[in-house]
Amino acid sequence: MTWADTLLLLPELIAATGASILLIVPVLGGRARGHMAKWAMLALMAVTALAVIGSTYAVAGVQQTPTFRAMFAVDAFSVFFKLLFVVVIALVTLLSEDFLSEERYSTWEYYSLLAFALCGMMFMASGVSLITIYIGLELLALSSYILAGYYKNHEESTEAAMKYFILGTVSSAILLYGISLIYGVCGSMRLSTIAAALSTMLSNDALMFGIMLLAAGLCFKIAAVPFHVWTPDVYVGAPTPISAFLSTGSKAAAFAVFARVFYVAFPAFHLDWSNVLAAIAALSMIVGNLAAITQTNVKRMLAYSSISHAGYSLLGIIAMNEMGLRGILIYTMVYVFANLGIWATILMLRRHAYAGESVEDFRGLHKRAPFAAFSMVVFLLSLGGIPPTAGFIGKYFLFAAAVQAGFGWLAIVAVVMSAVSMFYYLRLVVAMYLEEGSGAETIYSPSLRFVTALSLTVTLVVGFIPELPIRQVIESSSHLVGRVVQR
Amino acid sequence: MVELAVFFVFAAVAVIFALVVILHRNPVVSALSLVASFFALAVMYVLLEAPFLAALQVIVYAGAIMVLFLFVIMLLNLQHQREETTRPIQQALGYVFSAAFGIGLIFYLIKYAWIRAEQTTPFNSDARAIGIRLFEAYVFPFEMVSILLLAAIVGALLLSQRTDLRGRPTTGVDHPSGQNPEGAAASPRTGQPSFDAGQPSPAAASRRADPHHEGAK
Amino acid sequence: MTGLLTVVLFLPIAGAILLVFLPKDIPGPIKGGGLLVSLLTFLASLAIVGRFHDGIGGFQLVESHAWIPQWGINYTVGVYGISLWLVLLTTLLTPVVILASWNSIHKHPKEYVISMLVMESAMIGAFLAMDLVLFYVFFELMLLPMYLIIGVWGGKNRIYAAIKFFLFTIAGSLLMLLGIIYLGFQQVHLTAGGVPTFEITQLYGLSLPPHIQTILFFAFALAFAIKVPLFPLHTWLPDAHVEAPTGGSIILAGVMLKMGTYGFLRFVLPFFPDASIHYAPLLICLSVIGIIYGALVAWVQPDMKKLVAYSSVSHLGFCVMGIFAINQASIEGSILQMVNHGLSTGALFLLVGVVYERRHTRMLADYGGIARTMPVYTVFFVIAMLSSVGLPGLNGFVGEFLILAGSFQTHPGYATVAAIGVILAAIYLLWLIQAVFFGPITKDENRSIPDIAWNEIAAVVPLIIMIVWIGIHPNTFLRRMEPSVQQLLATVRGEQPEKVMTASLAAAATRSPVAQTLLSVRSGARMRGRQGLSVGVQGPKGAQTEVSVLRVTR
Repeated sequence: MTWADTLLLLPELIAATGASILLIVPVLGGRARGHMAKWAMLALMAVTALAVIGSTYAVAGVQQTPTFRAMFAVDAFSVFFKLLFVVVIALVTLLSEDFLSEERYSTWEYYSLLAFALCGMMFMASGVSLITIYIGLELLALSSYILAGYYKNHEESTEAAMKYFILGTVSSAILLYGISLIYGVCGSMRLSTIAAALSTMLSNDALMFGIMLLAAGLCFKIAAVPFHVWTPDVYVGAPTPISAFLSTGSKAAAFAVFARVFYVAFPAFHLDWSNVLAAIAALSMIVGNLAAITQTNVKRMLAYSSISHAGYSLLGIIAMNEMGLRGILIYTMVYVFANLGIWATILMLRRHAYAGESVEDFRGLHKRAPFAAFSMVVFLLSLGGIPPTAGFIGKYFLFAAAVQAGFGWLAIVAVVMSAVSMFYYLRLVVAMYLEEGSGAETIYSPSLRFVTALSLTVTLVVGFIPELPIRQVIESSSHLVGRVVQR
Repeated sequence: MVELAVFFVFAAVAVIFALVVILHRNPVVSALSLVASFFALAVMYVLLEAPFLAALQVIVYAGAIMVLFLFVIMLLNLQHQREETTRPIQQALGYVFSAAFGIGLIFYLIKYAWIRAEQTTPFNSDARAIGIRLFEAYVFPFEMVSILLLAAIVGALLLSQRTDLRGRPTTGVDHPSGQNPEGAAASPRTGQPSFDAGQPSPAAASRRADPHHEGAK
Repeated sequence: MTGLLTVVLFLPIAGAILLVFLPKDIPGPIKGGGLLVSLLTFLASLAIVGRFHDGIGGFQLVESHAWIPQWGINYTVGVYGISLWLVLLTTLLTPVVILASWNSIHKHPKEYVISMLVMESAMIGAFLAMDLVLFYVFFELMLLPMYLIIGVWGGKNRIYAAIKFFLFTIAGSLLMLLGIIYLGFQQVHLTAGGVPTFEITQLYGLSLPPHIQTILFFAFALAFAIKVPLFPLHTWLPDAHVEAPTGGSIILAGVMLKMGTYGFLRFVLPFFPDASIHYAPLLICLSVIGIIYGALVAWVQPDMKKLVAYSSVSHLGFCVMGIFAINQASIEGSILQMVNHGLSTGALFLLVGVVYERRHTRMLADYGGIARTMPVYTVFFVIAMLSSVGLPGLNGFVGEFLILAGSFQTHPGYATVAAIGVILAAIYLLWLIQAVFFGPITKDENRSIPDIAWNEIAAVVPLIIMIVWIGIHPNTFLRRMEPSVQQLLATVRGEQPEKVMTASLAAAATRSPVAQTLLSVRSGARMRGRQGLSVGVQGPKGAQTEVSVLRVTR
């Protein structure tokens, strides 16, 4: 370990240190100045973002810099996701402002936990060994459990946290079991070593079992179908900004891990696991979309929609080709911004505790808040994959990857389910534009406005001028794809 | 052969006590069964020629952590929990899936139980060797765990912290109640807010009953 | 002037963006602005006709810029004989619609005009796009404004109708997207760096294996059949029409439905010729069922708008039949009939809207004898109706005659049955006229209906002019589409492109010496153009070269 190694670790170190500082501030008398916490957190995010960008210069010209005995690596892929995470956490911070001041929960600890979660997510993005990935994932999960239960005086929030915690730990155990089986077979937890070991190995049951358990554990984190039951309850029960975080940042991190592990470690057994994942993806899309149709609670609807989106994103992993990996990257980004925008609108409608949840609250929104309503339409269209929004670009990648990889049937399921999804997305559009009604009053704070505007900008820019983001995505993923293509 | 017999006996003990942990209604019995299960697990480590890990298992889990568990349980003076009503279909599905998973697991275990893993290098598991590995090869994950534990401590403190009726820690400076947008959540002196910890408010209760509520007003 | 097509394409959207910044409460200037923008677009589109070379079957005025180079997706637009008149129809109908809605739209006039302008751009874009993905983008972009037009400004059941419209269309088009992706990746191995291509000129004549053609054929055909709509998939149309405001109905019937028939011509036939020929009887059969079914259902409608809506099902059945009869006459007739239907049905919807404005009912039973109170109106209505019936001398006759004449050559049985549809059309439309305009005035309200107003006359007169023009001198229109149709047929029949090239040039030369001179003059004017042209005529590279000629010329 050298100083250079530590420098590569700078973003994570900053996040962890920042989290600790945020913890200490109230003890030093910052308790009264709760409103300062937001600015401290945003400053921390800015510094972290700079550190992430800085770390790219440290590895300029090198595809990947594994360090700490090849357990941690800084590469373009991890930088892409880390920047995305920092932006997500910064936006969640902005989303949380009103909620915290209104509900009067302690602010510093809240942001501290968010920073810990960010730290975990960054470890996940950079982890090139199953053990670092696992610990990063646990760090994220632990912070998320507590954040989900942050409304500790609300029954729903506590219930959500409890459900999330119990199912989360079970899934972590399954994941760990999978990791131990893979370790047992391959004798290493490093992804590249595993890949090398597997390339000379015949398919065997213990290994397949391990891969399947690993996939199952990750499927829990992304909320894919047989492991999705926690999603609706948690999204509804958790504080709304945390639901926003769980459906965007947390999922994005899980997808980063999913993509890296499967693209780096398991290409050799693609034929064996792809069909199982294809079934999971198809089920996620079908169950998620069909269940979303019947929901009257917007948060629940978004939860089911996020289940279906996990299914779409899985196409990228199943396809196991260039298009697929790029598709995951861009789709994750697109999905994150569209979703954050929608959550911002829900928060805007939130009257005190839990309002802004029912579809009826959106009635006639275009009269009361034309900008929010318009952005909401764009976000919903983006989730539905309608051009010229960013969602189309993302879905195009994924569908193209599936078609290229010979999973035509899965692409057809995805397409049909996209059409179905438009049905419930349109219900919100109908409520906002076509129905009259007073609905809930709106509190559109500058922070929420900023989140909406930023998400809208990204959604439209990626939709209209996709060249630049696509180039970025190609740069960020080519070194992982290279291995797959060489195969 | 003796080894195998010992393994199966203690494996059975571990599984049975693990089942007792989740099936028994008295939390104290559950906690004690967990201790028993941990002991059986320690025997596995011995069989795997890892006596140091076995000792750690007993000292750390059975000794330290479980004692804390018991202490907390006694302190909270938990009563028998009434069983949550679940839909029969959920229960049935739960049984079916866990049975399927268990059968699959047993199948693979039996299939591989007779294959001996090749030992490429002599397995050294004394405290010194583990320490060296932990602080050399695995120092990075080891340090990561420290962050994880810090976050866990923060979480535990937050969730267990005594709070006043507003959800603010008692040590903090109180906000004037006029800042509360709803205004209905009563001042700390005069009454209960609508989202009091102990009992769910009528509003919350009605909200849960009616899925089409128009927001909590 | 380079970039003419881009100007036409983006002028309405630019206008819409400007309108966003106007305050809400001045409906006059907003509508005026919308009208101005759409009229400017119309003038600009006339320039396209002016610069259109008669004798060329390939794409003209082509513009190409990279849009998403990593996927080989370009912004490529071009016009050819088949799309030329549809573009003009679009630019003509949009000002008509804005005029027609001048006094009938009171709710959110700003949003209405903006939706119409965005619609216009999307429709023009879909007609001009030479890149499959670009086409898809415009194809989908059309949905939302139309959804809002139906949903916000529609009738009682507008929300149901809007959602039904949206879901039907998107279900089909998403499957088409898969087809597009698959097609694009067909030639991936041929290009450097494995970039797919979506340029339709490069995908024409791609001989795919039959089973793949069949799958893709259905993926595309479903999307377009829903849009047309073809018989079993038509159920969204009456709902959408009945609920849509007058302007929405005009655009929907006038242009949007043509996306379906146009899609068949532009994509389905040339991309999947074998499958198209193989499944042509199926589509013809469905369209004939649609013709008869639409006519019969229209006959029994008590609601004027529904009657016209079902007549659309019937008329578009003719268009599809013409397309899948796959010969020169029927396809030319089909294209002309698309334009005709846009004009006559657009006029009919407009005129139905006029009385609806005054009486707030569309039931036949509520009218009767209004010819006496609204004489001018009656004249317009009867002309539009006769055009729809297919009276010789008006446009409908030319289109239907060409379609039926062409179809008799290939599918005499179906053509005979379809001819019954013409008779049925005469019956139900004359029945409509009889019930609404003639006979005694039974209702007192009908004695004092004000006659058609200035803005409505201004809206309907251009349509009537075009109806008569096409009826009397269809060659203005047919002449320009002929080479493109020849080339299309050649692609479908798998003939060598160079033969087509010479054929179309020769045809152009023999038929219209002007065309030939035009070619030589224009090519002489531009050095690069002439070089390209000489290659095009002499060289064996054929149609491909022809396209490149035009690219160079621009």
